[in-house]
Amino acid sequence: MTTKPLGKIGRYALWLSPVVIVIVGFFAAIPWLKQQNDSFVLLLSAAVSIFVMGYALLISHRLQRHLDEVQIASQGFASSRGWVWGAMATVLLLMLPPVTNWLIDLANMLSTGSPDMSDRGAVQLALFFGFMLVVFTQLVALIVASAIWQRRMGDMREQS
Amino acid sequence: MKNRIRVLRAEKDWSQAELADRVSVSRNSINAIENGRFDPSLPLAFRIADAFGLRVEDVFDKTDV
Repeated sequence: MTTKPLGKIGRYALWLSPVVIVIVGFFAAIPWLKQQNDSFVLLLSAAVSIFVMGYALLISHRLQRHLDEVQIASQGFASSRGWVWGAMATVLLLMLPPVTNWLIDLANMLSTGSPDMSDRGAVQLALFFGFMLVVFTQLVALIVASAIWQRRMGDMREQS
Repeated sequence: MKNRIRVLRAEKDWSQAELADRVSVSRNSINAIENGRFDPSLPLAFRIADAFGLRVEDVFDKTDV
């Protein structure tokens, strides 16, 4: 059960790399995708979404197989709190004008090329970014909740 | 739940990592159990007791910390 931390981090990085490459590649290809026809873009977006969701499921199953009961309890604590805290954090973030303005500008910019112009694509992107924000803040909240659990479980140093 | 894991480890000269390997859990989990912050399941309590060659009641005390 005990492994070298660097080797562990490297293994995690290796496992996460396909999904990171696909997501970064997809976002990098947005300017090129805007020049393609709608059906192709829709098909590619669906394929990328299915890949990311499927891969996330595969990784979570793999990770859960190696958890012991204390780690499973930690995961339970983190997920029971993290989803709620993340949703609340999203609402609070969206109440801040700089955050909402930045999201609107980003959606407009990627859709029309100007932060002050909006079209149907911009609204779709805004919805997408809103959903991404919820998922992201929930992920951050999960990590925070997990850290709180680790702290509660005691000092990480050896107490011989 | 109180336990004698730290004392028993010291007697055997085992580190937390060594005990963790013997009972197939992480070192952090042994740390949490040893400090009374997490009560192990019955199967894990038996595995820990077996690792020391003792009975469960010789390792764990039902008294709350």
